This record gives sequence, C-alpha cells and structure tokens, in this order.
Amino acid sequence: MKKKKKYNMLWGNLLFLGPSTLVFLAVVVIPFAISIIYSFSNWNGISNEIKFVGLNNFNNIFSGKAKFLDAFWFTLRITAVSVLLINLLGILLAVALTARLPLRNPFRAAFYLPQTMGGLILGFIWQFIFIAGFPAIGDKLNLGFFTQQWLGTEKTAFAALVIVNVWQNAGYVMVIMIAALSGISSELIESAKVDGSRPLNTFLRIKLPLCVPYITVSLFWTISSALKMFETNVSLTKGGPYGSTTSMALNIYNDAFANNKYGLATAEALVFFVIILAITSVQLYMSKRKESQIL
Amino acid sequence: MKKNPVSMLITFMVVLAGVLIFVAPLWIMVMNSFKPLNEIIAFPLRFPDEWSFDNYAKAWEEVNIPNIMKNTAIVSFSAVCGVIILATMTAYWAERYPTVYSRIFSSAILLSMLIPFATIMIPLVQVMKFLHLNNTIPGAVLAYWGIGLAFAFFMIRSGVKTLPYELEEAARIDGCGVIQVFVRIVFPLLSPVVFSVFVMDMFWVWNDFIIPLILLNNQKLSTVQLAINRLFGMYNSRWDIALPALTMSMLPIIVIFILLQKKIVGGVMAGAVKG
Repeated sequence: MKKKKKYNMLWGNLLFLGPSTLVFLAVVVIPFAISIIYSFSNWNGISNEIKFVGLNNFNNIFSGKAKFLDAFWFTLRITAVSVLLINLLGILLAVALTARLPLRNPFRAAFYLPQTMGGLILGFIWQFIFIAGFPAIGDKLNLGFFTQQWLGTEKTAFAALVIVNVWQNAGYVMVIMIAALSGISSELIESAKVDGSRPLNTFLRIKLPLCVPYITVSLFWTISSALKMFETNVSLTKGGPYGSTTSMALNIYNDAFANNKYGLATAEALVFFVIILAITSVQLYMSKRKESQIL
Repeated sequence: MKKNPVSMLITFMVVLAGVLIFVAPLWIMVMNSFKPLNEIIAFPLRFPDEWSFDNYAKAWEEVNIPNIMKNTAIVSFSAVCGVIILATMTAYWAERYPTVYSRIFSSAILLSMLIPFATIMIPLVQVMKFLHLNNTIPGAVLAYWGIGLAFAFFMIRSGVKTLPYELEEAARIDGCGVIQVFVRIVFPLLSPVVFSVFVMDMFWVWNDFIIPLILLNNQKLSTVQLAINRLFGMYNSRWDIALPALTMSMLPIIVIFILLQKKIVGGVMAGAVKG
C-alpha cells in the first residue's frame, strides 16, 4: 500500500507539476539566469562572439555613462507624483460613489473604463488630445495655458504623462476603496455619530484607519505599476523630448533592441529588478507593521 | 446615512462633471473619427457635419482589422486557457499533496511576481530562438503561460483552499482516479474563481503590447496593439485613419467590459483582498 502511494505521487507530481515546471523554466528561470550572465558581457545581440567585461556595464550605469540613471530619476519622479494623485483622486471618488447617488453604478463604470484598455492605445488617444484637443479648448475658452505644445517641452511632457497615468489608474484605486468603505460595519459609524462625531471627523478618525490594509494594496499596486511604465511612454512621448521622459523599462528596451547593446541592457535590467525588489519589500515590511499596529 | 438634498445635489453635479471629463477623451476620439481630415485638424471639438463611415472603410483596409482581431483572439484565448489549465493543476496539487518540491516550486512562482518583465525579456527572445518559436504565435503564447502563471496560481490556490476535501475523498472511494477527481469534481467546483481569472487575464493579454513587440515581429501575425503601433509609426498625423482604427480596436474590449462589469470589478476586489 505504502509503495503504491509513493508510485502514485511520482506520477502525480510529473503530471500536475511537470508541465508548469517546464514552462516556468523556459520563460522565467532560464531567461533570468541568462540575464545575469549577459550582464557581464558586451554582447551586441547579433554576433556569435561574447566577450566578458566584468563589471564594466554596471560601472557605466552607476557613473552615468549609460543613460540609465536619468531614466531612474525620471521614473522615480513620475511615480511619486502620479501615485500621490492617483490615490487621492481614487479615494475621493470612492467616498463620493459610496454615497447613495443616482446613477451610481454607471458612474463607477465610467471611472473604471480606462483601466480596461491597454496603455499603448490610451497613449495614442491622448496624443490626439494633447496635439489637437487641448489647443482647441484653449482657443475656445481663451486660455493660453492650454494652447502650448504639450508634448514638446520637458515639463509639459512630464505633466502629460502624469495626466494619463491618473486618468488610467484612478478607477482601480476607486474600486479597491469602495470595497474597503463598504466593508466597514454601519454600527460603528452609527455609534460614532451618536457620540457626536462629525462626518469629516468620522471619516478621518474611523473610516480611513480601517481602510489602511486596502490603501496598502492600492499603494503597492500603483507604485509597482508606475515604476514599470512602458506602454504609455512608448505611445505618448516616445521618451522625448530629448530623452527627458524615458522610463527605466523603455530605456532597457531601447538599449537592447534599438541600440543593440544586449550586455548593457541586461545589466540595466538587473539593476531595475533590484530597485523594484527593494522598493516593494520596504513597502511590504512597512505595511505589515502598520497593519499589526492597527488590528 | 441621512443627507440633505442640497449637499446631495452638489455631490451629484461634481461627480457628473468628473465623469464627463473622464469620458471626454474617448468621446473626442469617436466623434472625430467620423470627420474628414481637414475638419479634424481645424475643429477637433465640433460635431461632424455629417457622420460618414469613409474613414472606417479606409482604416479597415489599411490596418486589416479582421486579421489583427483574429490574431489577437487566437493568442489571447490560447494564452489564457493554457495559463488556467497549468495554474489549476499546479495549485490543486500543491495544496492537496504538498511535497518538498511542490513547496519550493510554489514559492518560486510567487517570487517570480517580483521580477519585472523587462528583466527577462532580452534573454527570452534568445530562448524562443533556440526553441524555434521566435516570431510564431505558439512562442508568444508560451511566454504568456510562463508570465501569467503566478497571478492565476495565486488566485486559484486560494479557491482550492475553500473546497471541501470530503467530496474528493468520497469520489476516491467510489473508484475515481486522481485525474478523474480533478477533471470531474475539482475543476467544476473551481469554476467561479477560474472564470474571474479568465476574464482578468483575457483583458491583460488582449491589451498587452510588449510580448507581441518582442516575440511577434511578423506583420502577418500582428496583434491589435502591434498593428496600432505600426500604424502610428507609418502615418504620423493621419488622424482620419488613426482615430477610426483606435475606435475599432477598443470596441471589443468596451463591449466585453459592459457585459461583464460586475465580474471584472468583483475580480479586482478579490485580488485586492487576497493581496
């Protein structure tokens, strides 16, 4: 009996875990391992010759010879600004849309809609809005501010990307926060009211703290997706003007597939991985502590 | 909560204004897609004088809409079905018959969620070349299987945890083999969570740009995202072709979203709670 069970386990493991193991090895594990090897080389992606250059690529990255540091600072800035605005707007929308408004559900759907479309397509739609739509609004309302060349200068291109990020992702935070707010027991709110707490006070002192685990989730998600920005970057600004809005992911893509610097690009990709790993683990650690303080 | 009608009205108006601002970009795109090019450029905010489908006919030809829709549908469907089959098998086995290997493997899958795609994409092209799957639909599908495994595994495993083991035991006693138990009992019972994952992954793959960009460099195999990107590369500022193409490319997604709204939002919430 015991022997038979062991035999079964072997076949079960092979059958149930075998296929995913093979796929996982081919798509994730082996590429990751190769990435580490390439990062010490100066391979150009075409020739058969691979020369190993030690830490040269990493040296170029951290000394600023490669453009990666610029991309890093840009990504950090845009992440900070967008994440703040996305979460503020998302929370506001959730508060407004948990009240008993008429047309509440279609409104929720409208705010979530951009989230269902790909970043590339959203970027192209907004390219039209920034090139034709905003100037037309500016002419109509006589607002010079709107008529500038949005995608032509460093500052406005940055602002354009922030606008698209907020538009695309506020709906996600709204959905999460609606789940959080509707999970709060109404008795708790009632008793606060009986004790004389004003609505704003109730929101800040009771509702918001109870939402912290959910806010953590949405922060986690918005930060990591902003750090990985690629599609909207490709379609809206193409990293320009003069490379000033090139995100880390776009920079890696360009170095690998446009400039044929596979070695350098894999090194950048590893640095990118470490940055994301560091930021997300700090975040996970802090959120664990916060949660245990409250619960 | 009781609210006085005035503050209610104000909230409503503010939210309505927000909705209008949010939907405006899409509305401007759709409206302009019916106008001739000179009108688009001169008066982008004005209604078309007449709603003409000429642009749509041009864009349909130019972008080969039937072909890219077909490609995207084939890629998305095979990618998502594969992800679900792999993830369900792995999640079920790891949850019910934990061994040292399955423990290591499941934590490796979960850890892979932290690896951004940009980190593995460069060697992934080499792996696909080695497997002779470069620039083929199976190659792109295989990549989606590997990348999508983590999220699906994570969601489905928490579904398996809620299944009563007694049902499986009873089936075993009645003479079902492991495979039969899985196919006839476990999989059907998991269908709600599987459906959620199906819908969310479908949106992901349909909208994904980077995997086709690096693994489907053959124009005949273009997906929607690739074709749109190529279109904008070729005709910069030919908005009379670009806008109808964009509108058509979004139509399936918007229809599915309207039909499955509750399911999609429910799935996002479930994902958040488990995260």
